[in-house]
Amino acid sequence: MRVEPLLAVKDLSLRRADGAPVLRDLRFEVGRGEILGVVGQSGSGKSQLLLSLLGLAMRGATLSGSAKFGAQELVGASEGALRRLRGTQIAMLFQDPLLSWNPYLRIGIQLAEVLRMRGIDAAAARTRACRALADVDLAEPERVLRQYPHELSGGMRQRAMLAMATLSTPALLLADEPTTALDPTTQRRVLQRMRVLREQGMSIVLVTHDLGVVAAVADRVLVLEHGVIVEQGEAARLLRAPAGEYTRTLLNAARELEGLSCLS
Amino acid sequence: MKVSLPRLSLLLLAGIALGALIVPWISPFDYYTPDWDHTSQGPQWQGGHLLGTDELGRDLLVRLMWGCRISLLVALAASFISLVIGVLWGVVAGYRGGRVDAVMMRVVDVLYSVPFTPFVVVLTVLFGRDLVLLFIAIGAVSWLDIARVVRAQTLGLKAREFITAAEVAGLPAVTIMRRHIVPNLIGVTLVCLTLTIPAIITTEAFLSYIGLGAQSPLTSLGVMLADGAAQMRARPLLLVLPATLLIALVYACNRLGDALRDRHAG
Repeated sequence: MRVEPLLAVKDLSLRRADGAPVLRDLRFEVGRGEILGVVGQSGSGKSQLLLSLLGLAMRGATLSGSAKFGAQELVGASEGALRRLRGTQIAMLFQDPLLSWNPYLRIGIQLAEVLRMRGIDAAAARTRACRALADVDLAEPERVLRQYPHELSGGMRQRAMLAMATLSTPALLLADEPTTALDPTTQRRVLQRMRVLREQGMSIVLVTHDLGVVAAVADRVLVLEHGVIVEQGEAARLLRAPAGEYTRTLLNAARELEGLSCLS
Repeated sequence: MKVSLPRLSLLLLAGIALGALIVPWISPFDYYTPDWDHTSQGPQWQGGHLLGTDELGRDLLVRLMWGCRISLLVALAASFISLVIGVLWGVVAGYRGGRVDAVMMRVVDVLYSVPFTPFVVVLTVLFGRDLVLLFIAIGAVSWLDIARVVRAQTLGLKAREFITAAEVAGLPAVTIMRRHIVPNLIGVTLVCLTLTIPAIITTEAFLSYIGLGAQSPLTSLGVMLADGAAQMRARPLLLVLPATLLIALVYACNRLGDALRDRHAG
């Protein structure tokens, strides 16, 4: 029996307002409890792919095709339907942990806000926010709740952001280069947390240009070039024996850098 | 404590405000009762009229301070009105964007092109001369600047990632505007406000000077300037004192606004 995927994307295309294609005929699936790595160069449309799934693609752009999240069709869904999914069912994590926080509000307030909006009372929201911070290995979560974003280090901010994104245990987490701005230690912590989330049944779409990250956590990989999928498959197989020219180029570039920095 | 121009300005403002608040309260004289035995007196320590009296025998110091009261009151009330309207208008236009933005900003453009003085004249003809009308007239005009600044700032904020993050978290638009955009506008609105207040003070003085503002026996700095100008040859003090106060108020507000702007920009 074939297991129903959590997200099934068919012929998804995105055109800019001026008609230029950003994404072309994407076709892929994300299973339950699976981490899908999306790799590609800057400008290959990775971030736009994630945003368009949430109905937040660039202004004036047109989305066509189909993206089924469970039974819910995301393409062409009403703003209200999409908003009900955002945050609760589908959460998103951004690259820059400083920019994704409102600089004028305390961490605790911003975390609680997400829960309060869904009718959870203040005390319960605070307890859950506190537990979520502890789950991402942040020391003294009570203190972090009272702090402003600029008082935390970059790594702490990103882990807090991960806590916020997974606060209402979404079924699908869209992560847009979540580790790019982090030091290796924090990277490992964030990836470790992602593995735990996967074990708990969460599906993750992990956009990155770091093949090391893909090798570390992704189950399957999708390679995107100029808005077109050039290759996809099992992560282990694809990284060992890439079929496409473009994938090989990416891999070679990564190996070269690794050789330079003498890291495993 | 370092002595700096902005600090002195703040001190000056506080001094004038305090004087405007306290002097009419502790003085034995009020601003409207004529004293026919002591008309047009010069400054004197005996008899209690510290700065003398006007041609109706009313205490000049008390009237000056009442003038400041009215001027400051109009400035605060009108700027509050313009702040509320301006921020709401600007945030909604900037955040909604598209057609909503276009329509809202064209409304601002149209209002901008209405000549101010005839507008106030028409208002006073329609509704009579009233202080509340003055608040509304000035507020109705000065919110336009704030709305434009706030809209521009909102456009910038909207492109920031934490707004996208809030949208992705599923927060409704109203919450995003209220919790995430407005708090980030405090700096720029504050600066805008400190520059709007002196403009409103001069506008009020101008309107009162030509007789469209505060009505006798109530006074304001503009009214006192007009009265003083009528007898400036005989008693220059009646003109010099309100003029000095007006200049001091406006100058202090402007200096303070500049200092705030520099700090905000830096």
